[in-house]
Amino acid sequence: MPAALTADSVAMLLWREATPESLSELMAALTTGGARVQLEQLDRLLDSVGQHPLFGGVTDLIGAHPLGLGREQLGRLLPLLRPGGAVRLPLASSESLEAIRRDLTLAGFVGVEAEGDGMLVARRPEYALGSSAPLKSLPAGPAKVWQVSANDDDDGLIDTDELLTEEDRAPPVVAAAPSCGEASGAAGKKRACKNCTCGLAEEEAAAAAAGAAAPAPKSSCGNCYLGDAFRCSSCPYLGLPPFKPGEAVTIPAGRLAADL
Amino acid sequence: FQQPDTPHSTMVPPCNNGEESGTGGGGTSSQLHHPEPARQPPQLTIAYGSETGVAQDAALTLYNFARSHGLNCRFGSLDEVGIVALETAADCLPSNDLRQQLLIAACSTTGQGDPPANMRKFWRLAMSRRLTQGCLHGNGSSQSANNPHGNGDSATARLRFCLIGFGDSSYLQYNFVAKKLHRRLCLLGANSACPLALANDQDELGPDQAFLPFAETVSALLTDTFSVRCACVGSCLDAPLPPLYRVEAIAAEKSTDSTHTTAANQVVVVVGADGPRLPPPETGYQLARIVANKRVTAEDHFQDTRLITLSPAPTSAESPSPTLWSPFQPGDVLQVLPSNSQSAVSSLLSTLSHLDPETRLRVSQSDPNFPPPPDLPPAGPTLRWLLTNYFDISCVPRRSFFETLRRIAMCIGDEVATTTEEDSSRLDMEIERLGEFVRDVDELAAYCNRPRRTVAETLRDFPVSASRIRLSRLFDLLRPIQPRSFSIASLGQSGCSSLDLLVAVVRYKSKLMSEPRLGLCSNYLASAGPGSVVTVRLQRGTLRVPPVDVPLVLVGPGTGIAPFRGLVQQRHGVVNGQGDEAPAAGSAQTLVFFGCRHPEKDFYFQSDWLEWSRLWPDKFQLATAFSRPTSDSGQQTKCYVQDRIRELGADVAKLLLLGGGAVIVAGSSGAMPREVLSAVQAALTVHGGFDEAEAAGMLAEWQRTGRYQMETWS
Repeated sequence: MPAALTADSVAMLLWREATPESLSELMAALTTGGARVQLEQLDRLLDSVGQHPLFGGVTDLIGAHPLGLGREQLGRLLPLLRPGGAVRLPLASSESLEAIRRDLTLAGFVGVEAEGDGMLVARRPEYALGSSAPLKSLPAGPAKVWQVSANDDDDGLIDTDELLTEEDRAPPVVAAAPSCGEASGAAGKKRACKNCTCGLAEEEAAAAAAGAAAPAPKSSCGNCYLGDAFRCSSCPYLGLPPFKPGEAVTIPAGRLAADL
Repeated sequence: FQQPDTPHSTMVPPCNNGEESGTGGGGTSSQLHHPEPARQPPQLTIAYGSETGVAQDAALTLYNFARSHGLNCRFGSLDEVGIVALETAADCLPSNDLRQQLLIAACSTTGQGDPPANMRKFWRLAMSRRLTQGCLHGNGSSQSANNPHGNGDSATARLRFCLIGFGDSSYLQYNFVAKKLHRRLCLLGANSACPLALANDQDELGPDQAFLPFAETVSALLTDTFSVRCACVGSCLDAPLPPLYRVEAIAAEKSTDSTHTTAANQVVVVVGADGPRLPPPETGYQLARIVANKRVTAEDHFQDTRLITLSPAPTSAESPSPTLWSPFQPGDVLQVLPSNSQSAVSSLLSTLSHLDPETRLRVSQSDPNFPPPPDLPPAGPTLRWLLTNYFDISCVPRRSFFETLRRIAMCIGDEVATTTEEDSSRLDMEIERLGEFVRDVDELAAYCNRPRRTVAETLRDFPVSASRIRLSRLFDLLRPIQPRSFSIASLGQSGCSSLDLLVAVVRYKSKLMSEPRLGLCSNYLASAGPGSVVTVRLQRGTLRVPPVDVPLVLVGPGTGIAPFRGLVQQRHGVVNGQGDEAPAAGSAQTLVFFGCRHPEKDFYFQSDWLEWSRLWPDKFQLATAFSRPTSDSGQQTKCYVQDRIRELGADVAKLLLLGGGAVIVAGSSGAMPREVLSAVQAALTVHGGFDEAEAAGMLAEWQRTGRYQMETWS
């Protein structure tokens, strides 16, 4: 039976297949000191590690029985732990100590040690990604560590940076925005406007039926006077206000000049 | 839910649950969905934390959905209404309200991963140590061992919430506020009713790409939770909404507004007897007078940049005039509330020719969540005053604008207006097109966002719809002008009578639009001659100034140099403009990198830098980079600040590694901050003996701890 955990521990007891009796025995042993222990079925946990509310806050991960974890699974469990948190795994007699030690190390654990009765214990390293490394060729100089946190003058607030996981800090994958408004309008689409009089609508319908690409649009259209909201994408008056009734329809000087 | 008694209202509540939902007491309808008898529906709060109005607009869209279904709900900023919801759920308040709290919130991230000003108090509460894990859980304070996934149970949790963050992934701290808040609430035991949604300015279709699905999810959740029975689902585009305010014409004397033009062709902006827009004193806003407005770039240079000096102005003839600014630190900003240009206002007034510009209006409360705006003139604003000083008509309209304009065109919820026959077919066309813009984010982006089309230009394209805008719907359609921030470019830590701003006047041609795009605030300040009165507010900046004995590397190309002018003076002993021959004892070195086009065209504060290099040669060094030099500037090739940083990499590494120095980068967002970070990393690698991964890791850690700061603006 494992020893009881200290009262301020936040622990998870991991199981794959076990009887309720054995689990409650283990829970009882662990919680006699007043610790908080949460029961987690291993496969369900592995599916949703990133969303777990205790992510990054667990002090002890304990295996209820030999779990047969591979390197990749161990790596997924690592971020659950707080830096410095410990994992305790019982080993099956068939498992090689060295193989598991190697897997734990490659997964990012440190301090892998064998405890008595076939238990292996390891820790999540204290440092997080990006912490300072010792200076090499230059002397360290006066240890002026000037630091300001966002919670500078905020006593009584938690350190909010601890709420973020590595996944949170990684930049999102974003599709590049299309280049802004070419003269042809929205991202290459060449629409016919309503009440189309220049024949683009018929061409588009014919092209859609024939499966061919729409041919180049003509410049005349029945809707130029209405304003940009109704002009077709090849209208020479795009960017100008709607015409007032009776206003001469002229293209301002310079508009006909090529942009390039 | 109280429907206001407007005289011309023909509204009928669309759903038959106006009395049942949200008014407390077991609603009969809730028994259809919850097996527990007489279960009270939750208390609904829709809130926002918004710096520029984007998150607020999103929250308002969700509020309109709730309103259109007759749901009783609190609406406001997270500071206004979120705190109560959180405290009630956490039992911090001695209230008898045992209902579950349902909080729908939209919050953006600003500065260096900081919460916007109107949710700072809420943030302090949510992140407070006195809220213990599980306190929102509802089963006592410990999490149940039978609930392995830890997300508070949806039925018993004291708080359920849906959260969407608004951010920009070109920043390192992308949506940090929403991410942290979401995790914190879950850890406290609240139930997250839907996954965290993250809206990103850099998405192909902008923030709407994430917001629209989120709005759908929230609508479905509200429909289910409050057993809304309604024929329409989703956003209910055709459901009538009462106006946000009651707006009536007052039959009083009309006002006279005036603008004077001085001989120097600089406009002295005086908005008549009504005065400029001035929010109440507790918001921190005050009036300021322009003392000087000087162009600091060469006349033949394409960029017009001004050095603008301002002094506090008296608020009224009776109150004693404050002649000094409150003390401020380097890195602090001045927020300015600009007004629209006269030409833009006249053009819009002619589009709204059916409304009288000079009649005074009374704006009073109609919705319990919207007290009347406190910054309107007491005598009652005129339409001209509102379009000049209050409503933003030069911003790019958002989707909600088109939704509202369509409702106005269709007279939904109002008495139907008559149209002529020729207008009628045009109206149908406009309504259809407005609907297309509402439904198709891509169409909207092509029409509005990419060309940067303004509200005024949009209304010009929809004249018949615009002719149906009533006074009562003005506040539904248009949004108040948001303030713009400028880094203060002068010293003021012990109170001073004037401060300086360095303002680059924004003017560019967008593809497609024939008129150039003008930055609202920069053009407003540029045209405000000496004597003009403007509405401003001092704000603490997001920069944390290191102690004076920490060496500094300051990178400020272009107008980014503005906050460093005050910073350098303060560090090396200049107090309020009086120079000191000997630098302040104990001050460490400062290395400033400044970049601009040409030494004779836009070398901001050149005389100051030369003077200080002369005064403090051991402490202060300026490295310049000119990107469009001519052959007689002593520099042959195009050079940017990042190139100079690499060139002086040994000095940079020495200051940072040996001296424990810090870096501050200020200026335009985009490529510059990335290039500078890369150059500093190169300096650490080449001259500091680290490999690239170590240097990158160090810089990431420095950004987290505030040793590498960025103050960038777009």
